[in-house]
Amino acid sequence: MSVRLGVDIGGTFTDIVLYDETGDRVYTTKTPSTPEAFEQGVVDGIEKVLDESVDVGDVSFLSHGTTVGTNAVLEGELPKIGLVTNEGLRDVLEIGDQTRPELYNLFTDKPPTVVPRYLRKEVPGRLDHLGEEVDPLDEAAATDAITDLLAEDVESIVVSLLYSYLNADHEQRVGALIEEHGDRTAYTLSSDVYPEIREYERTITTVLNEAVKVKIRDYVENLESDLADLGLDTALNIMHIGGGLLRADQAVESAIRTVLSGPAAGAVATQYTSEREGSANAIGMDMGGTSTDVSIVRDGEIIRTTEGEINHLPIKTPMIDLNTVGAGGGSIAWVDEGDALRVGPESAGADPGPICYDGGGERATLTDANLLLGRINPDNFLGGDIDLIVDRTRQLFREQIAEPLGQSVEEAAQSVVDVSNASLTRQIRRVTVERGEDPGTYVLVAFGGAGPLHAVPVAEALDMEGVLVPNNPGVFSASGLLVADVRVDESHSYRKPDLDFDVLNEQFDELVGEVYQRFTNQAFETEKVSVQRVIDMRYQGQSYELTVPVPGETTDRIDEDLLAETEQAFHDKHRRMYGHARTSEPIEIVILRASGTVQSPKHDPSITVEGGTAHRGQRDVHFPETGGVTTNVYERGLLAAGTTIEGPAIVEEASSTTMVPPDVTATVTEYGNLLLD
Amino acid sequence: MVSGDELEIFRHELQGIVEEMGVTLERTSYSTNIKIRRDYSCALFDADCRHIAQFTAAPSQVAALLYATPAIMEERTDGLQPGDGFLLNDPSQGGAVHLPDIMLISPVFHDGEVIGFVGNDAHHVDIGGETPGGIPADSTSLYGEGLIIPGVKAVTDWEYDEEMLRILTRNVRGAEMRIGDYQAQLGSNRIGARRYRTLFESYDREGLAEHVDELLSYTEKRVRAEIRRLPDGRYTAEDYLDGDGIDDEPVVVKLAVVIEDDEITFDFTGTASQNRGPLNSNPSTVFAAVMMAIRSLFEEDLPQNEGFYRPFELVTPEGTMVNPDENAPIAATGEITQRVPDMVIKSLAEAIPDRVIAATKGTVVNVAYGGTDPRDGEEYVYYETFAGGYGARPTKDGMDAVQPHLQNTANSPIEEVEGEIPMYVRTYALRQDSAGAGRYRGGLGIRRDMEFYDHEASFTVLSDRSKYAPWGLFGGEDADPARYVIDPDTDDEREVGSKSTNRLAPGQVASIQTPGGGGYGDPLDRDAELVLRDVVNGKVSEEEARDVYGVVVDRVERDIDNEATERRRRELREATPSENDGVAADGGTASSTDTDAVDNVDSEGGDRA
Repeated sequence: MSVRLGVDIGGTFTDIVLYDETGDRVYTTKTPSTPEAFEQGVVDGIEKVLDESVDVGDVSFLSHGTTVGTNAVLEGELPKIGLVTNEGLRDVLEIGDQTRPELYNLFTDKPPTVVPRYLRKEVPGRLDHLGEEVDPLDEAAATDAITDLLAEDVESIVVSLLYSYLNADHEQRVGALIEEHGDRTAYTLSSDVYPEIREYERTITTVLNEAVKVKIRDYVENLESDLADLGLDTALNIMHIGGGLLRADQAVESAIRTVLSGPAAGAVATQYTSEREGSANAIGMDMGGTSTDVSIVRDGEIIRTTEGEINHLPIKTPMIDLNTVGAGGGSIAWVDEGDALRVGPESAGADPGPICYDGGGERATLTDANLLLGRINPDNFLGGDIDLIVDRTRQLFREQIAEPLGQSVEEAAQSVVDVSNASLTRQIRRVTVERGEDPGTYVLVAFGGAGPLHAVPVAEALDMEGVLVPNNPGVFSASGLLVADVRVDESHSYRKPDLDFDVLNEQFDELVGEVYQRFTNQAFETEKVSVQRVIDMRYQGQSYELTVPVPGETTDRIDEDLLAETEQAFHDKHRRMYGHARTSEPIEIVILRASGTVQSPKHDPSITVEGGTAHRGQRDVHFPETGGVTTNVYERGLLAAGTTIEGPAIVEEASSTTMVPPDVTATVTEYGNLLLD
Repeated sequence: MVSGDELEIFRHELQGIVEEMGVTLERTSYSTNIKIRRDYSCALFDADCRHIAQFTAAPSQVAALLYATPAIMEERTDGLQPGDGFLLNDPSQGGAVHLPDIMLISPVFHDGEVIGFVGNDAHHVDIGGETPGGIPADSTSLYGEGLIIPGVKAVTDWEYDEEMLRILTRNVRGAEMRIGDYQAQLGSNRIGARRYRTLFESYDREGLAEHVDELLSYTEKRVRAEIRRLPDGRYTAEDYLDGDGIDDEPVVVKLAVVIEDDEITFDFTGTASQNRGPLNSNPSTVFAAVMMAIRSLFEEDLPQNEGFYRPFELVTPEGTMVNPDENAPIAATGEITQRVPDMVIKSLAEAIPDRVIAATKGTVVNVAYGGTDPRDGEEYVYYETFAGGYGARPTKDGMDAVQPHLQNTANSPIEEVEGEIPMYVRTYALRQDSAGAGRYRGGLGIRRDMEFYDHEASFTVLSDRSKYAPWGLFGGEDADPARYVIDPDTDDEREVGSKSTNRLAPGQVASIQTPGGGGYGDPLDRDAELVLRDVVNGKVSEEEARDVYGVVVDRVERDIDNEATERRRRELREATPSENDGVAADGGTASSTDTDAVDNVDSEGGDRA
């Protein structure tokens, strides 16, 4: 009697995946997202699945990917926050890194300031690069600054002072002064949120965290109360950008980590599925309506990073290394003034959408091309008079693309697909090579509504090892929510100018203790927690770091031998990423990290095929090799494990369509995934 | 016949090759400069040395490759072998930015025949010479700026000549890092050659040539169409730079942009003659600067290849500072090339008022510090460049504190700089009132005050814009020029030259105050609410609000006194007759627009896609 629920809010749809352990079956559905109050869409979706299958009391696990934080940052709808910082430095936040986002656009703009200048207050008091006091904190000035900000009715005050990652005394003193003020205004210290070197990044990360926190706190409160009304009494887990889950209250505290949680879940699902299918190296290609998210799994581990950006603002937190490529089903195609065929990155998105969605879209898109090639079944997504809509799509496509190119409609549609694939191929190669990897040693895991239509030609162009189209590719990210582990990350700069093993161990013990504490707070048993120590290192003089794990248990004292092993891992990683290592160079320890995980139970549904034949009939589908050819169409849900399908074929399901080109064989694996070879 | 889809796929394939070259170079290089600041570029050429694709992180470097590759390869075609590589940084061999920018060019072979060339250009942190970093403020010849590499065969069968490397590395600081960077450059060419050979095989010789022809003529056609949308005319601009660091006299840059149907000539006739100091620029770099402006003004970002460049002609008379003799010092080339895009844009202001912006900070603001660190007794040298204001735009303000045009490098965090060198950053702030006022104001410049404690330090400025201000457009005001100051706001305050090396006594403060951007449109037309917002945020003073914008605000109450504002604006309008004659002509930046050009604006007004 156990049901696990994953709910992923996207811009257009909220996806729900339900796994019923008793019946060993998976159920998925989609419901429109409700941007006015996203919790409504979540509740709608949950009601929908519960109606159809199970009782609310059986739900034992609820995991959620939300776009609330992402949207708040992207749309700049952030609360009024005040900043207290050092004398002379209040503009650090606004100057940023002094670059502009686009080189050749005179009308480009820097990222938003987040805290306007009049809400940024300066206080004398200064530490040096060792964390030692140069000038004492001017408490009177700090009190004035606080009084001024409170008079402005700020929702919260961020305190960010130089070198607070080494010595938090001044920040803590300002925090105490805020508390002494006595009107319970919220505040946060950069040394608590992100105790790492580089003042702009620490400040913006702390400010964004605080701003998103205010937004997501309201959302979580509303959602929890709505869920309680439904009768759901299981804890709410929220996916974070690091690919793990946090209990809702901890997610609020680490609010900035909830951005981009949907794509992170897709990467987790990619890792899970490729591992079960016996592939250690996989590239996840999540192709939706407007863009494609690319993630990489190497030797069974998702490639991670500690820095990313959103809306051109840097965010510094351990995260899955996700790359967004401007190609999706809604990518607009046009013939330009020089008669070249162009596809994307401009997208018709969900509104107005492709012509064939009949939602007011009038410009040809990649999805329209797939429809005209017979690869998408118009019955799957069109309401209204299908013949009429297909005719209209054909008509506009002919005018916009086929005639200017001097091609037939089908040739032109194939041209649009080819150009889009060329762009996708180029960008996936770049992302992979940038990380020191060769796509030729990877399998492609293709999902999202459009991924399985484009997987084979892209994988062929990249000379990849094969293609895996998972079960329910359209809601694959949501399924990642069900297999993600609970994950907590703590970190701070190494607080000592030179190497001192006592200090190093002491600082690590403290971090590890904090990680355990966070799990205890979430009511996890300590025995289930596994913690790893990790160090960001660099060769002395470099200005970038690589993250490497410390081998062994967290209780092992780090001594010369253990550090040497860790350094060896750094050299190896440096060689892999950058092609060379300088083994005789001194190495600097920059940031210490501790990451703890508690494994979630992994479901392993076997494929239960309901009665009936998977073969749904035939239709005319165009392939570049054969032209129009009578092609078998299969129902994905009725394909039993072990079934093989010879291309050309089309495999359909509610959320996606898989293209099996001529001379390609699709095999249904024991886990129900499609292997294309 | 190449169809529209084949053409686009071909373009993606070529772009994929140069991207992979770039990624490889960035990934495997040793220097932060290349790896993090991305100071490198890559280019691909076909067998006829036609430029077919580029990966541009730094536009001047691509222009150098564009000029140098045909110059050094065409005369050597007969003796070339697979796996050869040629190194150069010598401006006399076609083109080069300055000595620290080193190019490596390699032929690509297939079945014993040359099928193309790959090249990259990376900024090495040091190239020898008296001044670390190879950008002295006071060099009087190229020989003083470092090691000159005149296009020599340094690579055979994808291996560097060890003897050659010994010369190269013995002459520079940080030899090991430099070797790493040279190897990264070689790896980049090698992957480029491999990928290009694969592409060649998939098309064969005729097929590839046909596709290249088609791509170049496609690009050319698109560029010519863009040019045709610009009204014909001869548009001019002139501006002065502070001086060359040796003779502290202003020097003029004159530019005429001549648009005839679908072609443009950029004519620098009348520009000051070659400087004794390092304020000189090679034509290839000047070309990069005009292309920077043109690409920014075009409505669509078009492919960059030989076809793009065909409709343009560059006239740089020999012996001027934009075409000096082959041994002229060029370390301050960046000052010229940061100014030229502003000038191209200004010249076209009347022709395309909706697309131009007012002047940006217009200078690199290169600053270097050195001395003996009292903390460990080690010598240190440190370089940085600082942001300034961006020009105001027809629809919005200029960006505050940003790198414009060819420059887009990041700053260094205070917490890192202070660890590396013995100083405290006491101020890092936007400069109030430094922007040119306007209906849309320019961006603010920045002020950075640095206290060098417990030791004597040298403080070198290699910059400009301290004498002539960035201009406003269409009634917008000029911005404040730069100030380079020692001990600011004290009795001992002392302003120093924009190209100068200075000594700082222990505890002295060096202050860099960068220019703002010019304003666009009459400040009296600025939305009073925007003025209020700027006053509240301390970006504009109450005085400037009242005296320049004619907006009377109460800063404390955050209120506009509407009546007083109306009165004030009326007074100001009456005091100065409306100057709606376009480009502001004060501030020492004289400007002229030929009358036939103005006529053209009238006849073609509103012709904007």
